[in-house]
Amino acid sequence: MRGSSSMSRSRVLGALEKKWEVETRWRSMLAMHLKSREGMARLQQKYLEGVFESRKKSVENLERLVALTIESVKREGGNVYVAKTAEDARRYVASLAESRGVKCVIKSKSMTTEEIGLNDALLSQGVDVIETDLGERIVQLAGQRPSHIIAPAVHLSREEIARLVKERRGADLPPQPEAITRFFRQDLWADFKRAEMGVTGANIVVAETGQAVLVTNEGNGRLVATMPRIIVSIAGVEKIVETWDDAFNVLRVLPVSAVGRDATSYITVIGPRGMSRHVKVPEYHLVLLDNGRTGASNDPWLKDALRCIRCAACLDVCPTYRILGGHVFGDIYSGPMGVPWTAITKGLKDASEIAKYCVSCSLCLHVCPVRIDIPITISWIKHASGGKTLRERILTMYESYAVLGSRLPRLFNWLQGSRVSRRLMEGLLGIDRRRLMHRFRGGNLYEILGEKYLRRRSADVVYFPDTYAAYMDWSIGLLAVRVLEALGYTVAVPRTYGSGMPSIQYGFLSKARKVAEKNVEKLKSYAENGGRIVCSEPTAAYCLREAYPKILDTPSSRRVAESTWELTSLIAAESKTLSPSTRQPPNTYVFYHHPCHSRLLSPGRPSEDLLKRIGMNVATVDYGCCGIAGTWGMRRGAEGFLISAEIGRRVAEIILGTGCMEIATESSVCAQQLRQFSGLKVRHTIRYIAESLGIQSREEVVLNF
Amino acid sequence: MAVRNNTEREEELVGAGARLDVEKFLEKCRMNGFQVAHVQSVEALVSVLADWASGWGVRKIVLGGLSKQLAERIRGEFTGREYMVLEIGGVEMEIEELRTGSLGVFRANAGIKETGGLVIFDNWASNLASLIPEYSVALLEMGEILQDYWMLAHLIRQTRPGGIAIISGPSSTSDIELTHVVGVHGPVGCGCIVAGLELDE
Repeated sequence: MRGSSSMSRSRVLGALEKKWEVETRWRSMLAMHLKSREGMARLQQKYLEGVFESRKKSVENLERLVALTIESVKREGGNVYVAKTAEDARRYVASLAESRGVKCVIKSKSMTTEEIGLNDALLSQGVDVIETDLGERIVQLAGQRPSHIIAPAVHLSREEIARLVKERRGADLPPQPEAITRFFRQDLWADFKRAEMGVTGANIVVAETGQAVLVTNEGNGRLVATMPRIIVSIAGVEKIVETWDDAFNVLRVLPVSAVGRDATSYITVIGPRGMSRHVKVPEYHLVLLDNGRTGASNDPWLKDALRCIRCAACLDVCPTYRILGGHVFGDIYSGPMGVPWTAITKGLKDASEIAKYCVSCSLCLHVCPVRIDIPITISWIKHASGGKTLRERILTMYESYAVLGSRLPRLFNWLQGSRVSRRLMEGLLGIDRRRLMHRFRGGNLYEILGEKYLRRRSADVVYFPDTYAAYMDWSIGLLAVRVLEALGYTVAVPRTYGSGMPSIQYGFLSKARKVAEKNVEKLKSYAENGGRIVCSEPTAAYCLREAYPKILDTPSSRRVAESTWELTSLIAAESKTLSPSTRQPPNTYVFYHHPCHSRLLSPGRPSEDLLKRIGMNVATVDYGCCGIAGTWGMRRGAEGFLISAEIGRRVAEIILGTGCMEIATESSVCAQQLRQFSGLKVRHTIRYIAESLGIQSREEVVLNF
Repeated sequence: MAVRNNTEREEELVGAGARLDVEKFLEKCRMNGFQVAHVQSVEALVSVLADWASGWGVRKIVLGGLSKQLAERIRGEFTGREYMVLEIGGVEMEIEELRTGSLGVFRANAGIKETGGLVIFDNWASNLASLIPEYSVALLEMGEILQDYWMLAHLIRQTRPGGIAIISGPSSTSDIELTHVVGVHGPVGCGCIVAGLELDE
């Protein structure tokens, strides 16, 4: 484990040293994410329902669809081979090339051929293998693997690519994308003409007709399927859909989620009776690869990942992927979806090596068009693969630390501010000494509110404070209760445990289950009596609504989930009495930071709308995660803080660029990150509401946020 | 070709409640990067082709997948205009001939209004004319515009094409620093002409 973690540390440090790459990837991923979100916002809900149902049907009927595909391909006069393993698939294609005397193979982009290591197998028997997708060709010449599943060369600069072309192809080009593209158009045309075999992947295989569907923009997929006399399509068995209606359900959503466009330039459908340039019908082979997929379809934790349509939206939004890229955060398949896919195709041990880069922000679930709960699947992979560190175990005791701090605030505030103790904390607990820590107010919310709230058995609203508002700074909890009461709700605050997010985040699912059981037990009677469970901390709402039902899978956990609200969402939805307040100082220009878990839980922008309703001047920018992700961003150096700081600095730059004076948000840890890197005052949204209702004065000193 | 009877197709589509909204289809194609035109005669069609060819700087017109009559009409109209007109025939031709300085003109079997795509079924000559030349133009009848992909799925089930190409813009890439560049392996520019007449008569 020590060897593995030091290797991981050096990989992270190596990635962070490549400043240009980090900056470019950050900007590129952000741009792709924004395009995707813009497209998805236009897409009708019926298409999302359609793609979900079609993909779900595929995963539930894998074996039947494989049989149907075999029948269809044979009926059309083609050859079909089902490969149990990567080795089987590799051997089939390699021996086909050998038996047909193939000297050159052209390929269109295919992650499945990366998975089976096809290029090396063909090269080892003296066959020229030419990637024809521009990005794939560039990384092939560089001797690398793709760093992003739809933008394989996104980590390379135009200068590096021009240099590569000079070294490997002997052409002296200006470092301009147009010139480089023109060169490859000519250079690869010669290969298209000479190749005897074309190998394609497939975005979809349609069982009813036995055809493979390729989605491309460059036209290389069409040329690979048109020019050679032997055509081989290689697809994972999970790519099979039953009918053309199912196929179009995928095709309608895939390009939108990937790049924000309704359609890519080309959809190419190939099969035994394709559209070859040869008068004689070419020889067609479809290789269906299992390699762990059927097994995964029977695994309750992994089966949902098989729905993946490879749009890469989860990579574009992932905070750590944006900084580290697919060569660190990835195996064959990179980024968030790469973790379950590595587990499926290579096993849990390999998957756990990259799972550590997931920070459980859950934005991947938020953007996934087929609703794969990648974060909880990754938590399970961390849990099932074992090998967690002592420091991770310590971080799951965050609540105990907060309870102690609430009892000994002076000591803890001193310890957190002292250089010596911060060095000790870094050495012993793994908390980076550069991380700004929240101060303790002293005391806890339950004591402040008193028995009346703790013992109330029935209420309109049950407030779930989580660790920060219960033990670190109860003023947030108190304001939440006061605001809810001012808006006419009766409020109960039973003593509950922290949400257990650190345990979920680091894969201590047994411990997380225990915490979840206790909290559900405390809350279920309120939910059953029609009470709403309200959280001022978005991560707490995420745990109650999304994580607990998955890890407990009980009727009570589902009932609690259905009753859970974020505080500001509830107020935005139900309170019509809030209006612009005369108490707000004029010209207060606030930036609203949308916490990751809040994006997932509350559609639209309820907090932002609420702030506007009370007369605030609000700006916001969708940059994704601010990069702290709970205790992860507190972790020492390359284990968390250094990556977190890269993200935090970039986010702060965007926020400061709006010219705002302070920041509103609901997450206590986001506040920690934003304060540290922007230098601005950060306040919980409930404070602005409380001020507008005259519950809190603006002059009141805010401890943390 | 299985799907060519325009009147039958139109009846089928209208019967299915589809609105043949040419302008919306062309608008979507324009957004995808096509040059677009809506014509009512073969003369007008040839005039548009000549304009586009001139604008793109090509002097070689390659016809693929067109009916014999339509190919002859186009060839006739171009005679004397200093264009070379080639037709992708029934035998293998030197593919290099199609590649440089040429405009491929092909017959599309359908258009998809919702996404602005052009569909080719099974026709290898249309496939080549739409793929290999530097520029390509699709010819389509008004009645061949389908509402969405699911109408296309219906058509696929009826006609069982062996190969399908759906073209929704010029060949393009953003693989180098996300800079959008057109003309990677397929056409640099493309166009779509919708004809308010039966093209294959």
